[in-house]
Amino acid sequence: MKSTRRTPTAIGLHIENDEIHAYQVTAGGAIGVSVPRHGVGADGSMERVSEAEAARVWSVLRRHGFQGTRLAMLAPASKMCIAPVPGPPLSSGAPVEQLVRSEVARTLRCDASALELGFWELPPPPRTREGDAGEYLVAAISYGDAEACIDPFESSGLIVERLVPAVDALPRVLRVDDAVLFDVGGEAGTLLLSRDGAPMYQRRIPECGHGAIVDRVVRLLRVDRDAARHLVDAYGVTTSENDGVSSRAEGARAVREAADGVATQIMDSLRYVTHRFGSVNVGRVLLTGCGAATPGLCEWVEAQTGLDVRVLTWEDLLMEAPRHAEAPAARLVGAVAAAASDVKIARAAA
Amino acid sequence: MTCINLLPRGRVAQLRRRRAARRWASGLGGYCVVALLGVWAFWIVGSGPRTAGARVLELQSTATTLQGQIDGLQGELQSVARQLRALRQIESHPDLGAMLRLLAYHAQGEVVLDSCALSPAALAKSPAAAKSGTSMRDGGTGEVEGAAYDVELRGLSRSASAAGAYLLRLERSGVFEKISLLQSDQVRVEGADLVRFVLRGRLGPASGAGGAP
Repeated sequence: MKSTRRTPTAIGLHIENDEIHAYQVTAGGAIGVSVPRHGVGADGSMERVSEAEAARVWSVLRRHGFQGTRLAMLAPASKMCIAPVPGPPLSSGAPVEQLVRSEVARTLRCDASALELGFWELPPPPRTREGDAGEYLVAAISYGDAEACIDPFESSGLIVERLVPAVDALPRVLRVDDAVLFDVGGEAGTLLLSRDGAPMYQRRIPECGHGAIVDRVVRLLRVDRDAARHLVDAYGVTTSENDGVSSRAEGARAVREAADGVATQIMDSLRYVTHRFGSVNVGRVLLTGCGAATPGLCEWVEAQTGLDVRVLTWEDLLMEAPRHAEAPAARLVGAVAAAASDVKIARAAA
Repeated sequence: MTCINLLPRGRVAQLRRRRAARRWASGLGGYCVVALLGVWAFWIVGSGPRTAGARVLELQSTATTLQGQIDGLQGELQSVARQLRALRQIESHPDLGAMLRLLAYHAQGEVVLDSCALSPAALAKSPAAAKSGTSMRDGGTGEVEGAAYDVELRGLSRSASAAGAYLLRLERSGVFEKISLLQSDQVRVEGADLVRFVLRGRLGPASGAGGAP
């Protein structure tokens, strides 16, 4: 999809543990960049973006040709509260938002006026009678966490115009609607199932994240984190146990265990979704995130689940591919979704 | 289908205010630019033929003003000329009142005047004036510069000698250039013998008509 925009979109920003991804569609085409983060803890823990880091990232983005100062950020998944909340059906005329807000505030133990949320009515379970309570998928974040995410960039002169949850932004840019999106992110694995562009089910699985896989290798091989990351990223599950390099074999075994976990989580989730919503039309699994490109991961999960598993490509997205062909869609998809949050997308044209 | 925005409401309101302010500023700037362009365009359009027209009008106004000033000056000039003419007339005429007082003074109760006629004397042209064809009259006014007047006095006296004495007294007064007795007749009026006489004198230019009796 070639860009015909004369004014650039907002700069989509997706902050991960070890990288900050940015994407923007300008008049000259799309730009996608992943900026490595410095100062990440030795254990891979995510640190808040400091003002200095935000300024550095902004200078890198300007060098790459990003235009304007408008930012659309993907809300940090670790700070989000995404959960199904029961409530009266929308058709009942009840103040659903107030009820949902108070329920979420009670769960987060914060003031109901100090959080921002969005919610989607979930399809009713099979064998539901008229008048039964409905259920909503809620995505909420407290003002404190949102401000902490926004402030460093605003201090650098940028204007954060949108803070969007991945659960809402990602399905909007997906060309396919019959796929399970599994994000092997740095912090955690996230499984997302959508229907007609609206989120239906999300599950966050910390042990299936890229960081968790690296941690597993670190614990198993007792190597430092960089070495374990190299083993995972370079060899993944492809290294045979018979190649004579024990560390690689051990690393591959650790990755396979993680891949098994991914496959198990996918199947468990699909079973739950089928039970909860009746039949679901899922034919494939799209892997995203920094761990999606782990060698052999797709094949391993595919073998375990029997589904069509592959890494997300630009063809799967409704947004334009960046000028640099090597920019991986699986890594930039969060930034793409954030940038597309204020763009009208015609899904029917796909 | 719009994506939900989890930005805190305060920031959203701030963004809206900023956007509205930016829109206002850009609108105001655009309005100012358009207004300036309009003024500039009017100035460009109006600075051509209209300037020449305005200059003609200005010159016409100046000419009208000058014409008015000239008319005013001409009026003043005519007024001054009239005053001058009056002064000249006054200057060229003898003081007839003084002359009458003189005539009455020298009568001394022996002479009674019936009439006193004053008429311009017919003077001979000077050679220079005759040669140039111009008279001593000024242009169009009918007045005579340095004119001489003839005074004809008719009256009665007790006797011929009284009439002669009266003539002598007038002659001695120096008012008249010359004075002569034209007629002297014996008449009887209401039983008294009187002498009816006619005197004619000439008041010359050099004669001091206003002289003291």
